[in-house]
Amino acid sequence: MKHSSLSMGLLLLPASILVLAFFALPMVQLVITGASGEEGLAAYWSILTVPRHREALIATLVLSLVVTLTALVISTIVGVFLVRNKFPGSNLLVSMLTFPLAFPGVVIGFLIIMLAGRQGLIGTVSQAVTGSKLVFAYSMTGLFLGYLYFSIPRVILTVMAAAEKLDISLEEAARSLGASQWRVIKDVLLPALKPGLIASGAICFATSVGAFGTAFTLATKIDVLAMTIYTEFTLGANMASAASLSVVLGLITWAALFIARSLSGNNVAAAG
Amino acid sequence: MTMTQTGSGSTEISLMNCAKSFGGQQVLKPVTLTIEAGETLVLLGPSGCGKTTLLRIISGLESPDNGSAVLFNGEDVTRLPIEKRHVGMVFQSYALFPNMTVRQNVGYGLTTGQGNERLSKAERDARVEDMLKMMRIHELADRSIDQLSGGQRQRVALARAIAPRPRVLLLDEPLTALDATLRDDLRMEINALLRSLGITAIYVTHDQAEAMALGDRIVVMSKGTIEQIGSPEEIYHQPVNMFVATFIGATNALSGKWTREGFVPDGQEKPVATPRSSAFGGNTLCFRPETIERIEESHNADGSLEGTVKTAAFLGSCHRVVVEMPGGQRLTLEGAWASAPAPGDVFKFKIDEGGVLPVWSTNQ
Repeated sequence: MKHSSLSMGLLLLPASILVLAFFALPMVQLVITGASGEEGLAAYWSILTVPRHREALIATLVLSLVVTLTALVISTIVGVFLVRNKFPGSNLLVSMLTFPLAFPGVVIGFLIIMLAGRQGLIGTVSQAVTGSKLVFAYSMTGLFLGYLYFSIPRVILTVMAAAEKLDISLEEAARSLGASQWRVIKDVLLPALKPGLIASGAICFATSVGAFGTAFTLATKIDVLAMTIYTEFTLGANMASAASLSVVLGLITWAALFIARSLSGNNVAAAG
Repeated sequence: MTMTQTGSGSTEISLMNCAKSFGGQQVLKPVTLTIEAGETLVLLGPSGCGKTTLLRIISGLESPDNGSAVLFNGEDVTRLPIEKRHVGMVFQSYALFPNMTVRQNVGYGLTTGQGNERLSKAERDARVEDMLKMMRIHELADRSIDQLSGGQRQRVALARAIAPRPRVLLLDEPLTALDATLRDDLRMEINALLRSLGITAIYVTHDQAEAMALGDRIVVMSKGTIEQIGSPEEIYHQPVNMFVATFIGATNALSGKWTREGFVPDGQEKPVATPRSSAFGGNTLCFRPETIERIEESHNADGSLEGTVKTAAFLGSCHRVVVEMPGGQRLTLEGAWASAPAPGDVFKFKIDEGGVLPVWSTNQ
């Protein structure tokens, strides 16, 4: 027994070194740096006390929440429809809908600029029609669209996988008992999709909170947390502040995934 | 057992030219049939025969081809979706709602306003209690579905289907997923339930024993058409064709020739059955394993047959042997015989005149 536990220890050694070197050490360093500034540990409260940080936090949370809810609604309707209805080109449509998964955030930001930027499609058309140029790429709306764009594929794939496994006779049973379309959705469909929706919603939320590429391309006028961290250490060279905000950002995404995991009972993997 | 009346009294169902095509292929040929009020009708046939499609048309889950009509007590419900037809349905997969308790499942149909029935909370609770007691699942009321066995699940499914007092009860292979002993018990229970409710019921199965035990009438189907409609006795003793004869119960088909003297088996000169005018020219004699008489080997009787016992089994109530005839054909024979036959024995027997099935040829 002693021998085997010794060899187990030896076998675990490389993994332990790896975890220590690339995960634990930088993490500890980050936490220490966060408290190394003039205000010390209070830097961790700056996210609530400094108005600019607090606003960035609120903007990030509200934006991510709205993106998540919108993505869930759209993806559930589209995902269930695509599973239930096979038509010519439906496979192509699915692959097109899931295409943004492969795009880096910067490219998605660029796409939004192409759509609603100063030289964008919507601007050109609106100028031709109404005489005034409609530009919203660099606002909260632009950010919302960009985030939605990369969130929908993640949720659609999960919804479709769950919808494939739905037992159609459950819906038939509900209808035989007099249930209306809405009651079938509320009593049968949504409860069956719930674990998948919670899991993909959590991933969607965590990804939106931490998204940087899209924000970097678009958020010239608005502060979201990832952008605040970036400006803190590049422009302000305020390492302590950037580190403390990073730790908070990490905690928020971790908490979202943790809550989702305990609610859905499924494994929820972080992404993005 | 508490008596429960159906919502609108018993309902008579009329099917007129009900057909169904999928992608240009007619999986159900036009069916015209009346199911009497309070009757239990069994749709029996192998998989793919159209029995489930017919049930789904009656339920409203499937709409039939143009020119078809489904009437409930004379009222045309052909275009009425299932949620408005007020039918109770029991599925092979139970289809219980996994996010609800047993009690919530049973009560579900009382919360949808089906059949214009508006019950107060107290009335609903009382009805659910009745159903739980009636199906003897009262002690499981607050369990979740995944804590139940297969038999318990199907009881819950039955209680859920009959709680809203449907006009018709539709059962789609409800016992197929259960093991044999449980199946027999629940079959008897369903039989008693249907009799006590007096509800019009349509029961789909591929199991002929189930069909015989439950049906007032049996509809035997194959390849989208009805082969025969009749009482279990009629179907068993008077099959109209070879398909029905072989699908229901065990049937021996002895090959030979029907002549003016009677039936002469291959390799034999003397007839073994009296002539029948309708059978003339046919080439098989069909009979059930139990409609024979064993004859002592030393005894000589007119119209007797003999072969060699290949396998012999004692089934408790009777013996069963497989006998190889001189031409090589094998027959399965049953009877309560005083001495047990053994493999290798010569087995001498006579086919009962009354046991000859009215099916003469394999060319059908």
